[in-house]
Amino acid sequence: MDLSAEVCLKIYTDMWRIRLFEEEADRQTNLGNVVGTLHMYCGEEAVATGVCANLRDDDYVLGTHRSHGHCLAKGAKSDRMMAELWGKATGTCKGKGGSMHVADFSLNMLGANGIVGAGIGPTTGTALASKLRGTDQVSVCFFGDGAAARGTFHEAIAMGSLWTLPVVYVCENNGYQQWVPRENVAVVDSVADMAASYSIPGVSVDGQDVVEVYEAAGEAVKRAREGGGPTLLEARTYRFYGHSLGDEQQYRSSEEVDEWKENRDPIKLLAQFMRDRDWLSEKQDQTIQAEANAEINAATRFAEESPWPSADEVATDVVAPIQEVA
Amino acid sequence: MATQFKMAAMGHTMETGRVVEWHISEGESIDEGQLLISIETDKTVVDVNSPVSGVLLKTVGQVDAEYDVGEVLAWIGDAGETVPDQPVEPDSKKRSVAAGPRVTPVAQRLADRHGIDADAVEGTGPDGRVTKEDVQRAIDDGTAPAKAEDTSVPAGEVVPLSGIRRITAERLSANWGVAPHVSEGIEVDFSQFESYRVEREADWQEKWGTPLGPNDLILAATAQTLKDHPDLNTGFVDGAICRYSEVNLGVAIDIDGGLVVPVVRNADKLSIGEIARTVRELAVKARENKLTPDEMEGGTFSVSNLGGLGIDWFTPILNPPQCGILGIGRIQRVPRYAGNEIVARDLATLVLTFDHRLIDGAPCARFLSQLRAALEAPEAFLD
Amino acid sequence: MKTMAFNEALREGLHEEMARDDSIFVIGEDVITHGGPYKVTEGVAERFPGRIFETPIAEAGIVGVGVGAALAGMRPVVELMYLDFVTCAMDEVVNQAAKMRYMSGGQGSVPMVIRLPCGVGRLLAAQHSQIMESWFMHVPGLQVVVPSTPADAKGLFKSAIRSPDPVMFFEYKRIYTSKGEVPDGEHLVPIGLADIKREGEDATIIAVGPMVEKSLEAAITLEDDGYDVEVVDPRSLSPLDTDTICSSVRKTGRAIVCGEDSAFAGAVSEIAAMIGENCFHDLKAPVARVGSPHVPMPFSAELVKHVVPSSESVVSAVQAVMN
Repeated sequence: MDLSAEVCLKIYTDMWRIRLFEEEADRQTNLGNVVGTLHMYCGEEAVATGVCANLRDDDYVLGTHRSHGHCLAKGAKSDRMMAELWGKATGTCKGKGGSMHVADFSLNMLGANGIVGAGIGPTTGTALASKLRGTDQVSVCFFGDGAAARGTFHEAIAMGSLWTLPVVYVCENNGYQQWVPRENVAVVDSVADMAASYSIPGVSVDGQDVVEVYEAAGEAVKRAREGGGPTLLEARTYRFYGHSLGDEQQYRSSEEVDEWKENRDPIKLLAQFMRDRDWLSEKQDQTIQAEANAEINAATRFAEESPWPSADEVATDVVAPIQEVA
Repeated sequence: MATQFKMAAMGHTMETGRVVEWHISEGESIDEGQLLISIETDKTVVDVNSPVSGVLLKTVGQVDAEYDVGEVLAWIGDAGETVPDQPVEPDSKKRSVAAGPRVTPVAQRLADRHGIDADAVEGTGPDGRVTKEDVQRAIDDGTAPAKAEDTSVPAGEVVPLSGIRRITAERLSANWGVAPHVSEGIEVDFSQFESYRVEREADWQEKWGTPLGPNDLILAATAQTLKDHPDLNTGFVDGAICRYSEVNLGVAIDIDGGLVVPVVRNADKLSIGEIARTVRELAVKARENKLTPDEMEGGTFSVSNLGGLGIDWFTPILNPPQCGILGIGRIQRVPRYAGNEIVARDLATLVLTFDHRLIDGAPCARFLSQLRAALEAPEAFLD
Repeated sequence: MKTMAFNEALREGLHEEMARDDSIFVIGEDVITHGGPYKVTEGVAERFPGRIFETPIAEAGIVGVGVGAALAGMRPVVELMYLDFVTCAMDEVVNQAAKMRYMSGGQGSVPMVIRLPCGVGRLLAAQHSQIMESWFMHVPGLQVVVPSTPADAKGLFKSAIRSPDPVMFFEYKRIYTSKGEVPDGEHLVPIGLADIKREGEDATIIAVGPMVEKSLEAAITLEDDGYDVEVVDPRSLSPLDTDTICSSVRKTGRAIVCGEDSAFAGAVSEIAAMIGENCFHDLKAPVARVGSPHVPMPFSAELVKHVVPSSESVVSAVQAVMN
């Protein structure tokens, strides 16, 4: 799967949108406007963008608690996402979901998920739905390396393989399961190695290198779309922030974080890759960043100016109103 | 000891099985694991092998018959062993037959309402009893036999309770069940009043604007006497004694459709003439059905007079929540001794019914004595 | 009308719905072989090939797959072999299926039926005999449906399959083979509508699942005492038809709430509390509950009979309330 200049620019733009969205959300948290907690995606942008650049609008994506990046990469609007983080009526979920449940069903982005490993089964289910309906939609599930420890990982991937479903299981292995380094609690270093248990291909790539991610994901998506069944794709990546807000990060050194930010930042790596090929001028770069910045600032204004949900919203969307029943 | 061979459960949902074929005849030997019987379940026919070795002593399960899981199909044991003629019924199969009438009381209730002879309805309940469902089915089907005329019950028309009758029935029966009613009677001499009446009728008409009768005197005297007996001017309200600060006399009035008891408010503060006029106004309104709820509420003590209807005496029933009611009989001229002489006297019997929860007999007797004294020396009320 | 068993009624409902709507499929353990443990899915594989999935033993996976398929617009009918196994899929039921509509602000929904064979059937002890209706009544977003007759089983099952939201469909194992009349043709029973199974004047028995049949038996026994009892079958515990229940209790002035599950914090307790709140001034006696004691289901038949309430338990409870 060759990466064109055009796709590169799109990915590069989305990486900046994600980076700036997260930093703005963090800033708004400090201002007291975004409440609850945030699981920041900064550092992992290459995974969401590299995978989603291979997807169509009607392909399904399910995410994790760290899913702002997945939503934006799938095409979700940053203003409605920011409003959701504020808890406003105009949020993607009318202020009923918040950061851990951002979703845009119009793009078949079926939601972030607050429970580790809980999306793997449902993604296998959306893939089963596509197969039953005879469409060539592909389903992608993002999950962390922690989720690979859960029974849902085993149960769902086994079924995805059993029924040769069009699904790509994407493990974002950022090396930490909340506050615990993976090696302290996992006996298998590479999650991709676990694919052998289900007789499906397991591929491990450098998750900071969007070119590698894009190409590996492209093959996996193609295999799925053509009826070849699931792939377990592991992207080894790194989170620049702690697990969630307020994480003291005593489990890792600031030198380690600085090293990744300096030399392993996926945005910097992609910029270099593009400049090496004359795909990104200095001016283009500035324009991209400025436009992304303007978009995110507009998102904050939108959130700020949006109304709060009315009290009667508390009891709507629990179940369908009676008249919807067939 | 022979082994029972039972119908086994051959699936989650199997409750019964049908015997298709015995592969061994009675009296033949069979080895453990040898084909014994074919059984049809709800799904398929299953060949079942013998669980033990021995002689097939007796087959109970008949070919083509259905048996519940757990029922004995055969006995296997040693040659010559005896086995019971009938399998022992498992406990769960035994149905105790409840004792009771052939028609349940509830079924009878429904049948009576519809004039149906429940005894002639087919019963499907335990022991063939006729249940409500049986009667209802007969009604719905139109097959219910009408009840033969019952000569043990007097013929008559059933009139539903309505309006005042129903309220009276509900209130009084409820109160009768909880308030211990006790009555005391006293004979009162109205001779003095009657002689005044003859002399002064015209004066009274002029002074009070209405003629006065013994009933007016009784109401006036009762109101005044009650002031000295506050324990009788009370009500039983929410489990407590309510001692009323006003004296409001309920006056029972007979109208078409029942009895109403309008109230003369603050009767102790009214003159006899005011009382007389008020009672006459209330009586007119009562007969025209024009009493307002206000005029019928707030009574603290009641008076009921049947003297006009020729009754000598009676025991009135309490008007809840009031503690007391006075029943007035007719005034009758009777001979009485005055010293050794027989004189004519105008006498009537007054009966006080009271709620013994609130007051005892002796204070009521003292009330009646004081009332009698007042009535027998009526000047204070009349001038 | 034709007479059929409870499981046959479910099977007929399933076949009718699958013929009507291509988005319906069946997923569960052992659902093809032998037509499923209770023969409810019998014939589906032959008549609707490719629309029934026999899974590995993986309840979290099964329900999770159901959630995803439902989010993608399918209508999965999920069978858990025993209700007890739902504990292996609680995240998928409680955190995923129940809350998707709400968390997404109404963008998505999970039109999925989870079939839950429950209660005492054969003697299978504590891990294969539970009921747990109230666990799911407590979760907003779930509907809890409990049919007691073949007709209701079919009508409610069809409505459950058509529901836009997840339905926990309780099937008491002991009544799978009980027979009853089922209306011919299209037969739908709306979710959330109670049914008066017997009219009466003196007391209202609110009976859940198999307690309906036991209460109807008890009603006949109670006729001998002169007590004419009404039997109300809620049919759906969430949503609960409080109107029908309360108007019956207001009429009779007495309420006895009966279920096979533990009365402590059980479905009957919610109903009893609801009656207490709404009908206090109409009650002539305190509301009574009939349920099992708060113990795990034992194995021995001798012990089980002290746990599962019988029609005699209902009779005693009504007699106590009437006195």
